[in-house]
Amino acid sequence: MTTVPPGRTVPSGDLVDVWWFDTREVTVGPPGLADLDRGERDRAEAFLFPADRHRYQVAHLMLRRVLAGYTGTAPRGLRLCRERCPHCGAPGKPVLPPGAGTVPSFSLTHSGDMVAIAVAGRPVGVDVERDADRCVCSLAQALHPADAAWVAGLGEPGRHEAIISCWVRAEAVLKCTGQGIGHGLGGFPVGPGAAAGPGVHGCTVRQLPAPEGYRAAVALAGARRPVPRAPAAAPGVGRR
Amino acid sequence: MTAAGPVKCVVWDIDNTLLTGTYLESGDEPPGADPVLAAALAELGERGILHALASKNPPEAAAHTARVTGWRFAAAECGWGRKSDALARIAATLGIAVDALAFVDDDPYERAEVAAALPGVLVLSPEDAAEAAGWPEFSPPVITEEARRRGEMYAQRQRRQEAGRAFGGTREEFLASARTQVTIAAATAADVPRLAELAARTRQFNSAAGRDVAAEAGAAGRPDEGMTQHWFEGLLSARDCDVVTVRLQDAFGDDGMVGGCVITRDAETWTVPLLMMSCRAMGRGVIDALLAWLARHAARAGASRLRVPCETDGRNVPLRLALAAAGFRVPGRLPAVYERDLGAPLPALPGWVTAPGEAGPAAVTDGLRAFLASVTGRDELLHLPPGTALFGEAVGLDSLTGTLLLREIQRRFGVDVAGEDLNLDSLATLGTLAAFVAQRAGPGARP
Repeated sequence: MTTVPPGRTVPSGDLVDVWWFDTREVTVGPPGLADLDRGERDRAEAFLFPADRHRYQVAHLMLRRVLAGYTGTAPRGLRLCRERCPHCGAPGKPVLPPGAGTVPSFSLTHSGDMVAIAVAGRPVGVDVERDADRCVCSLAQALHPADAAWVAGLGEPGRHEAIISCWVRAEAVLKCTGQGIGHGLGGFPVGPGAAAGPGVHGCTVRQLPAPEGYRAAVALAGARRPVPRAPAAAPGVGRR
Repeated sequence: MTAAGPVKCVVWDIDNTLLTGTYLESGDEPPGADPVLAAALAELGERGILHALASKNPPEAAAHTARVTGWRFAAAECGWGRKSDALARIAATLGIAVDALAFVDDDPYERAEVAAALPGVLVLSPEDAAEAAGWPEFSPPVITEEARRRGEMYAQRQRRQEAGRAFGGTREEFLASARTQVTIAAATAADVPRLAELAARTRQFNSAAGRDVAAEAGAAGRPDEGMTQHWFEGLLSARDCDVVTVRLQDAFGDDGMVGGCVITRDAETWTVPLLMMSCRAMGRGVIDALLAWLARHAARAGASRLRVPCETDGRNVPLRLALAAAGFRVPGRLPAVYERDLGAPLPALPGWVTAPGEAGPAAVTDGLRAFLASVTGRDELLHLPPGTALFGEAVGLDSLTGTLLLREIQRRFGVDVAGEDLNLDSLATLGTLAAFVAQRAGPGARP
């Protein structure tokens, strides 16, 4: 698959494009696999279970097709590299290398059957998680103390929803800044109040409309709230 | 006409009781909820008391009542039979004793019929019920997380029972297929409120009937204190005495702590002065697992005999049957003490039981697999090879699931992996993680 989808401009200002894919609706054939680079193919091979491999392949294939639409470079011609974690210097967030024109910032996330890709003109982070179908109260300890106190005051099952909401916001912020989640996601509050105002760890974060059964958030570097642009049509190749 | 013990479920009439009129005589616009009783519903529900309906009406009346009161009733009996029969069916459906019911009806005939047929039921007029929140029968001494979630757990129970009826295999096969997990662990201070609640609420699986357990087992307790939180706290720090908790969860839901026991250790003979389990856990392998583990645990420590004092009482037949099935016998006549010789072949423990002394790396590995399968809903994770890189490229655990796993390890085994293994080498594979947890949680490491 070497054709480049019709061009899209990189969102400017506080605009963010969010692309959603349902991995059950996408088939991956040899032409698609040929678009992945060697590292991605090796990583896909390392999965034990076909379902995990499929989700990984769909996510990375679609990421290449989405980015091809903004850059005009064919999916297999795109070179992805890693930024260093600002906290410890380890290789972290995947980025496009600087080049001519506006290089889009992007963020990729998946959970369950869904994949989301956010694209913006400045550093962006997106996270999606499945809604809690069991007690997730133990996760509250991983949140910032202010958020943990807030969720502790809620009854169930609303508390579980609030915990997942805080989780996706915090993870979106860390994916925006590029700081590894291994350093913990409780270093800053993201609950009501904190998330509404500007400046959570140098980002602004907001809840994102997500498919039923999922919760998602997007964070954009700077003080202005990210505004999701009109839903993007999926690059419709290889669909069942 | 008062019930002796705490009320676990209130069975409500609908017409002119929860509703301000008669459902069938109201034409197009059925009557609304009585605001005073709707508030009482909510207040009692917050304390973990269940609500059910018994009405001489078509089933739509129950749905309407649920809508206007905003309450999800644990059971509803709509029909034109005797209300005492309806109450007996509700008790059977919920798996609680009839004596743990209260009944509210505006019709004096219905109240008299229930009172005559079921003398153990607390029978109330709507006026009485409005004030019931202040009565001791409706005031559990402690309200735990388990109590607040009780209504939700009974809904899970109904789904589990339906799945069990549709399942073709044996009970053991059903328990395994439902990803049952029984976790036996040493009690901590945080467990004390729920232990006291279990001591106060359980009847069918409670060995304390007719005995002064606090006096028998509690050097730490005050005379006549009873099995209070203070008494349990004293036991936690007592020597030669262990307090044990039992937790239960499966694919249908997390039941939290469903049982516990107190063990007093002597070189040759171990005694269990208190053994208790919520009847909600009946039929799910919990009491069998606890009795089997007690025998294995005592035998490993060198004891030759395990004793469970348990007087005969009309209510504790299920516990006595379980003791007999687990190989316990009563050698004398009175006082009744069930005994088991530990020289005989010891009982096996199913793989879905996690317990102190049983946490070899293989058992921990199974426990972690079962938890991951349950969290993700992916049965293939039950067969993960020990060499699997959990946090690497093999199964693609997301960060949220990984965090849940580490929290579960802390809760179940008392091991804080991230805090105790600063280089996180133990996270390399499933096998290294299980070995680390088993080593830290092993004998001598009391959670």
